[in-house]
Amino acid sequence: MNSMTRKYLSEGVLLLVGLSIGILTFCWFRVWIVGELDTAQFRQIIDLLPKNWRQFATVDFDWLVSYLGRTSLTLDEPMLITLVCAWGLVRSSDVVSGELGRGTMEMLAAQPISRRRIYLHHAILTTICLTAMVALAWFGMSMGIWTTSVEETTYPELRIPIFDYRIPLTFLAPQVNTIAMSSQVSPIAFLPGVANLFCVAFCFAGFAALCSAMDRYRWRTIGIVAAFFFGNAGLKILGMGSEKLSWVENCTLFGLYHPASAIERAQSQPGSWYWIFEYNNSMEIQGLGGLPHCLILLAIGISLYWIGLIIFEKRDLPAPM
Amino acid sequence: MKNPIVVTEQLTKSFGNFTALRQCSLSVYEGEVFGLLGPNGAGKSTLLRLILGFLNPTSGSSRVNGFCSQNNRVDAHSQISYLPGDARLYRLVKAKQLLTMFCGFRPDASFEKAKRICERLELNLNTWVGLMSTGMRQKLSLAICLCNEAPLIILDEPTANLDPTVRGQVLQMVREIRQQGRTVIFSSHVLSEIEETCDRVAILRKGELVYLDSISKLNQHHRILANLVGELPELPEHLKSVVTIKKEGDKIQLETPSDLGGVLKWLADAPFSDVMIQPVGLRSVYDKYHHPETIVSQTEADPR
Repeated sequence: MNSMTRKYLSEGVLLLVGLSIGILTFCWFRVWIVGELDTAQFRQIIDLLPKNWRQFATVDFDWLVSYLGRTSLTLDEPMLITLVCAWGLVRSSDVVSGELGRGTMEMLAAQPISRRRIYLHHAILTTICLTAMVALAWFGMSMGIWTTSVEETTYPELRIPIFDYRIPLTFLAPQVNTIAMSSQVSPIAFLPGVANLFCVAFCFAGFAALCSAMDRYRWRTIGIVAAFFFGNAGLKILGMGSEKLSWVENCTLFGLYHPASAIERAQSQPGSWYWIFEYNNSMEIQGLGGLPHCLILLAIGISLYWIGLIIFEKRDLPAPM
Repeated sequence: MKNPIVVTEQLTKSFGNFTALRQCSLSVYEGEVFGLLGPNGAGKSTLLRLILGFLNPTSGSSRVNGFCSQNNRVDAHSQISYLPGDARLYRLVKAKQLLTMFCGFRPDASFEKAKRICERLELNLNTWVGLMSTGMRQKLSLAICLCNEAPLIILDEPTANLDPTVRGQVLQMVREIRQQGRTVIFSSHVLSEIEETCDRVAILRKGELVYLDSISKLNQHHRILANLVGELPELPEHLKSVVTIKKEGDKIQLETPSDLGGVLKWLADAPFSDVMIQPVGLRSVYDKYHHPETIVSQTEADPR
C-alpha cells in the first residue's frame, strides 16, 4: 500500500467503519421488519391508504405488496441514501479545501507528486469505498433475506382436475405457513437498484469534490454540499407531492434515482434494465430505462470530478490562515 | 561562477489591487545558503510559494534547476524540499507513521536519515502528532524536510518555536547541508541567524526586492558616526561615489561599502569629535530599508 493510499484510508477509516456498520445493520433490520409483517396484512394496510398517497410511490402499489417490492423500498429509504451519500459528501469535500483549511496541503503539495495524482488518488479511493458501502447495503439486504422467515397465510384449495384450476376456499380456516424469505426474493433482483444507489452517491461525491477544489474552507464546502443534498431531496419530495410541480423532480439528481422502479422493471421485463427507454404493456415509452439513469448520473459525476480536477490544477494554493 | 539553481525573472504576483510581489528578479546559486529577509507582508512567503508553484504568477517566471515552477511542477518539486513557515501536520497519526508516509512520497527520502535527525533533535517518534507541542511539531517537520537528498532546501522560518539549543542544532544542520554542496533558501526574521549561516541575503520591502548582496561584502561595509564641530568639508572626488553622508543637526553619519583607507585620511582632517567606526551589519542594512528614521538616532542607544 503506498503512502497516499495509507494516508487517505487512515483519515477516513472511522467514518468508513461507522457508516458501514450503520448501512449493514439498517439494511438487515429493514428486511427483517418486512418479514415481520404478513403480506396479507400489509395489503390490508395498503388498501386503507388514501388514493392520493399513491403518488408518493415510484412503483405500482400492487407490486409493493410483494416481498420483493417491500424489501426493494429499502433502497428508497432516506436513511440509507443519506448514509451512503454521506461518505462521498464528507470525504470528497476534504480533498482540497480540507487540506487547505487544516494547513496540511503545504507539506503534501511540496512533494514531487502532481496535483492530478493527489486529486485522482483521493477520488478513486473514495469511489472504491463507496462501491464497498453500496455492496454492503446489498449484502445487508441479502443477509436479511437469508436469515428471515416469513409467515404466509393461505387457504385450503379446491383443485379441479383436467383444467388444473385451483379455487381458494376462503370460508375455511386459513393456514399459516412459515417459509424462508429467500424462497420469495432473490438478492440478485436488487442489483439494478443497488447500481442506481451507487451512481447517485457517486454524483454527489463528484459535486463535493468540485466544491472542495474551488474552496479553501472545509466548513463552507460541507455547508454547500449538505445544502445541495438536502435541497435535492426536498425538491424531489415537492415534485412527488404536487402534480403541478412534478417537473421539479426532474431538475434534481434524485430525479434519476428510482431504485424500486428499476427493480420492478427488471423483474417484470427481464433484460429491460439495459433498454434506453422504459415501455408500458402497450409498448409505449414511459421514460428512460434503468441503465440510462445510471449512465447519466455517472456522466454527471465524472464531469463534476473532471471540472474539479481542472480547477485544482490551475488554482493558487493559499497559505494557511 | 556556479550554476543558478533558482532563477526568477520579473516575478510579480497580485491579488486583486494588492501587489504582493513586484518584478522580482534574482538567482540563487548551487551550494549557497541564501537568506531572505523582510517583515511580515514583505513578500517572502509569496516569493517562496511562487518558486514552489503554489501560486501562479501574474507575470514573470521562476525556474528551479531549469524546471518551470508552474508548468513543470513535479520536476521542480523533485529538486526541492520545503519546510513551510507554519508547518501543520496530520494529527491523527504517530510521528513515526507520519515520517514513513512522507518518506514514501519521495524516492530520495530515507526513513533512517529522518530517524537520525529526530534523535539529534531529541524527538520521540512514538508520540501522537496531535499531542505534540508546537516546537515538537516543528522538529518533526524539519525531519521530514531534511530526510531527503533534494538539491534545494527551502526553509521558511525553520527556527521559529524552537529553544536555543535546538535552534543551534538547526543552524548547524544548515551549514552541513551547504558542506554537502546543496543549496538552502533560508527565510527568517532573526537577523543574527541570517548573518551566521547565509552566504548572500536579499531584503524584501512591500513586495519589492530592495537589497541583494553577499554577507562577506556586507562585512566590509562600515559606518562612521561623529559629532560635527565645524563646517562639513567637501568630500574628495574619489570618495563621492563610495561614501554616503547623512546629517541630522550636529550628528553626522557616513557609510562606505568599500575599503576604509581613503575615508580615514579625509576623516583625520575633518572637524569631527566622538568618532565611532562600526561594521554596518545586517541590522543596519535591514533598518535602512525598513526603519530609515532610526539609523542616526540609534547611534545614541548603541552601546558599541
